[in-house]
Amino acid sequence: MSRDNTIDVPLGAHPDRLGGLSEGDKTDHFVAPFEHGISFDELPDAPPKARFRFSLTGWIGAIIVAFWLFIAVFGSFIAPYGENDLPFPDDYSEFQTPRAGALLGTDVEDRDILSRIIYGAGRTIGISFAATLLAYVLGVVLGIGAAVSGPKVDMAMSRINDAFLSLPTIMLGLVVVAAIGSSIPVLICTAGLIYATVVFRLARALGQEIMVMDFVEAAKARGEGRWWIITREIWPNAAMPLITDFGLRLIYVILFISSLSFLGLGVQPPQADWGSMVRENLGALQYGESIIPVLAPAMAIATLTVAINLVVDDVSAQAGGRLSKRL
Amino acid sequence: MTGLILRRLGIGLVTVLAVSLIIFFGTKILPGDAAQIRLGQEATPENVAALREKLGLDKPYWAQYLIWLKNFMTGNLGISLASDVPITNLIADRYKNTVIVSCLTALIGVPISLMLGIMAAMFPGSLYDRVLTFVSVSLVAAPEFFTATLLVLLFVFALDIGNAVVVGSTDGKGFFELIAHFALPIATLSFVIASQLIRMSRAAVLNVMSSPYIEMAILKGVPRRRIIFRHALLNAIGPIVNVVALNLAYLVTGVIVVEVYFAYPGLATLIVQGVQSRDFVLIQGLGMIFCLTYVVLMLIADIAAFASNPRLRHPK
Amino acid sequence: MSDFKNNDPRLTALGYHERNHLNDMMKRGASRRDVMGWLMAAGATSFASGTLFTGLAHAAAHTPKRGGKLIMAADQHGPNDTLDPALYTSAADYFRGRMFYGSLTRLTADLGYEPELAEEVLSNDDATEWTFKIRKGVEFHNGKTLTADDVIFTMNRHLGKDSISKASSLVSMIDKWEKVNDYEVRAVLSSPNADLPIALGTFHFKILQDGTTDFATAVGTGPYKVKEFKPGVRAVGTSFENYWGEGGYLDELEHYGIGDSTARLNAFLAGDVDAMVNLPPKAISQVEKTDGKEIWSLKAGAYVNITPRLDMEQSNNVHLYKAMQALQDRQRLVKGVMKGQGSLGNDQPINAAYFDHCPDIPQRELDPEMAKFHFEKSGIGNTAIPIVCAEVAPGAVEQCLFMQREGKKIGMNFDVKKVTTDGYWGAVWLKEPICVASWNMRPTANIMMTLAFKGDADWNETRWKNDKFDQLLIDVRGETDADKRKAKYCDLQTMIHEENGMSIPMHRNYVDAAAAHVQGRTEVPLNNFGGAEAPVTLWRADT
Repeated sequence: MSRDNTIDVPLGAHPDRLGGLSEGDKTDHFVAPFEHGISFDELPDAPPKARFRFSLTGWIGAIIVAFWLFIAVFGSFIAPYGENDLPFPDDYSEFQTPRAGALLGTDVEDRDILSRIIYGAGRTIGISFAATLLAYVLGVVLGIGAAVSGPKVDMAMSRINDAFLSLPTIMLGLVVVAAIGSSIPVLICTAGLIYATVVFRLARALGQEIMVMDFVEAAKARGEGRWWIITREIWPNAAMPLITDFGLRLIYVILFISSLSFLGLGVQPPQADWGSMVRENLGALQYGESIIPVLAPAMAIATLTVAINLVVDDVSAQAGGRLSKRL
Repeated sequence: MTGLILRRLGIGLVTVLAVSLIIFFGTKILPGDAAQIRLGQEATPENVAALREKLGLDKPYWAQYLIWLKNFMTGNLGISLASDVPITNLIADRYKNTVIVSCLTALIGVPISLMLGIMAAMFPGSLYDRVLTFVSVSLVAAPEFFTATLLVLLFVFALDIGNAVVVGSTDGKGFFELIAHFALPIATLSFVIASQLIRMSRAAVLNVMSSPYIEMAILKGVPRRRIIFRHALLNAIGPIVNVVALNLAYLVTGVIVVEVYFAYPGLATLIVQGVQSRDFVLIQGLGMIFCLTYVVLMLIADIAAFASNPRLRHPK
Repeated sequence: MSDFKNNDPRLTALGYHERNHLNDMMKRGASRRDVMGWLMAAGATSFASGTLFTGLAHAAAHTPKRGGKLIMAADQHGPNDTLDPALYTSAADYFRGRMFYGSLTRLTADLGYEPELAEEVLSNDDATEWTFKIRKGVEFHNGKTLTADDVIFTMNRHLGKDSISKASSLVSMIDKWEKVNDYEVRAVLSSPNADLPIALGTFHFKILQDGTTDFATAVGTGPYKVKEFKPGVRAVGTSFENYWGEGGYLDELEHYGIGDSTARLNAFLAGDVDAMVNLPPKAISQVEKTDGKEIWSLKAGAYVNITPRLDMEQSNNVHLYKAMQALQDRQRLVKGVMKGQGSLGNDQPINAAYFDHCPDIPQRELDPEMAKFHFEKSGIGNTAIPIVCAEVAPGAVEQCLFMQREGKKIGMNFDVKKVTTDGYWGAVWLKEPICVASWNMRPTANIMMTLAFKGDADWNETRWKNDKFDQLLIDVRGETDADKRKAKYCDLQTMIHEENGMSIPMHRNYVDAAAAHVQGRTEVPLNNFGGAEAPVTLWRADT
């Protein structure tokens, strides 16, 4: 029986989507905390309380995330220009330094950087959020489904999932996007499906772990139905690790999309997204008057992802008090 | 233990088979006809029909699949649709480049990252730990091409060390010459994998540290350094090897951006070109090579884990 | 020109030994006083001696040195890179072709031709029969001597309906090639063509050995022989010791593909490559500021364009392409993108760089009113109009983005998809309903229009077919009256301007960059790297 454990969860995986372990039913490489009986404070019988107290870094992270979410939602009302509009139509020089009329200067096509960052926020966050959500819906449903199904179904689903996992993300993405043609729905679906494989492994491992816990055994012995077990026992206990992983997955999706943009298959010009903004303005580092065109979108990605990380770290630390903290 | 390894091997084979099905039928679903693509502007209906027959495209899919699989196992990857040369010719040299870069990155980047991670685990909560965590978190967030550009600006233009792109052949170069040859791609990739390796190794050690026997040792008053090196580290080898193997797999398969940026011909750029020219045969061959690489690396990771952790050899 | 010009007319007064002595003096680095003293003693006037010295000193400083290696960075490249001249499609192919092969004639900077493998080119009075006397003693890389059979074999590959050649339309007026004797061939034409020797100097007519079928390597008569050729990666040539002519000075010449322009510029500025094609115009000032790096720019009639296929749904809408033409922001392309290294395009391929340019066609400008008029007539409404673009040349992507921006203002919904340049020519071009392209200049207006606008041309991008145009294009080749010729060429250009459907918003100069030690740069304005003619004459100054 598997005991893939959860310690790798908040730490997440590689830019290349790996949720830690390579095969679904392999015995743990990690020492499962449950085995030693110290982890009942981590997985209490009752669903964990949803209240957290952020540390200082957690607060900083949360505020930054909230800030970007606000920009993402209300960006089109705030932006001084359209994302493809020229602040100075009669001026043919690119990469201008910040000035009145273009607070962060202009980009390689003489457009207003501030406006593009603001429009890009909505697109970058929107696409990655939608893709991650899709990955979670698919991955969690199938993963927990596999965990509670019989060994044969589980085995088949895991093997298929492993096969997809063994193909490189970016290659899968390239082939699919290039064949169908890039558009935002295609990007969302492709990224969602690719990352669903990781979530599947995670959800399935968590589900299996919890299935053999005493309280589940007890519930089974009481004659509870499968649905009851899923909703009342498995989900509340699996939710926390999954939610922390969600934040990290979001970061990898952002990077995945910006890699596709680098190869010309991501968000299509002139639409702004942060990854492709870094890409199209790379020349500014070489021959621009100002390096803001490339620095600004890079900083936007960095602040968002670091902030998500801070929140995730905080949440996962609060969720599992370990001896290491006291050491 | 042999039995376990054999079982892993079996699972690996099943995975490869499943992948071959996905790849073959996946590329069949994609729009475009191989014969049409290969003929290009010379395609007339008669030409296309004749070539379809010659390539065996008129047979049912499952028969095509079996022939393709058999060819693959005998090392015949077929003829490229875009350039009419055997896929193996296209791949041979590029595979060498890719393997050299991944191995050098692993040799240089992995030990440094692991050291940093383990040191962070030795002093959790210290300033060093916090700074390192913050830096590695930020590194995760940097797109590869951004890291690459910064490195080029810093090393090539500011310090005048290394090359902005990788030109020239690797033939006859010694170990250190190869490192110099691929210096910046290796540096970029090391940064890419470092952030995860640091976090994972730190977490793996800390996780072991929270187990009862370590707690026992702490209570007994064993010095912390001794605990980490004698007890914790040994038990953390399994997960660490696993992460290293995953990263190696990533280095072989996922470095498209770095290859394009530094313009060295590796396998990943070949995919980009294959995808652009709708060269399905090439994509199929590369897909299988990547899958095999991944499965073999995972197998090695498993064996290492078994060897390092006696408990795993006797699963309940 | 290995040394000073031995046949300089001002030297005719000197005897053979005197000339050699002068040559030796220059090579030893003799001073002006020494040389002039010697010349006066040899009987030259002092004025002649003075100018002669300047010329000789220049020649001595520019005397090619042998040895060394150069790496030239190309841009587009892919698995369909080839060594078969008949199949060449990209600038990279053309450059490689010059390294490994030779052709009957060679094009010059003023777009005339000079004999190369043909020692002498003769025609009958009405240009319907052309005789080429083949140079004796020319050796292929495998040691075989060039004869008429090789030329006939090569030329026949471009003839006939089933020819795989990309340039067959340039020689479609040739009925047959005849062998007169081992060193003389004759082309018999069905209609006159005074420009045939120029056409045969273009990229596709490189001479192969009789019976060649394997193009894994190139066995030509060029100054370099193949050391390594990997499609989509690099081509390396080593000096061919038995090259018949002057040239091929380098030990090794490498042609390397770097698709990404930022990476290419980095590589060039860092000195990893010695020259690069298509310098982003925005980086020109940066290169000019850098020591030892120079711009290698040629004024030309090259252009970027957006081509709607007239035989496909949506893109066949006349009002759509008229609206697209009116939406081109030509000024911004020339001034903003090219930084002045180009000129306004007028939706026809022949600009002022061509002899037969027609200046009377009114210049199209950005005209939202006109665009709106046609857009409303087109009935396309809010439907997305997909356009595939790639950075195939400076301005190629921008022309689409500018059009999209202007289009949005009047409610047109252009869906611009940007793809990578790797493999673009094989996979996208001529296949998508609307895509971009980048065209090199050709030596004559007729060749340009025959290659890309004639109804039956392989590269007829919009699939526009106009019998009157095709006929006129053939007629004008035999036109000897200057005024009539001019009028006919004006008609041809006007037809394209009005009906072809293509947007040609900008003509661009070839803007490459080379390190100062890259010498022997040619200036034939037909392609990057000096018309892709540079491989023969390139040498390295700092070895």
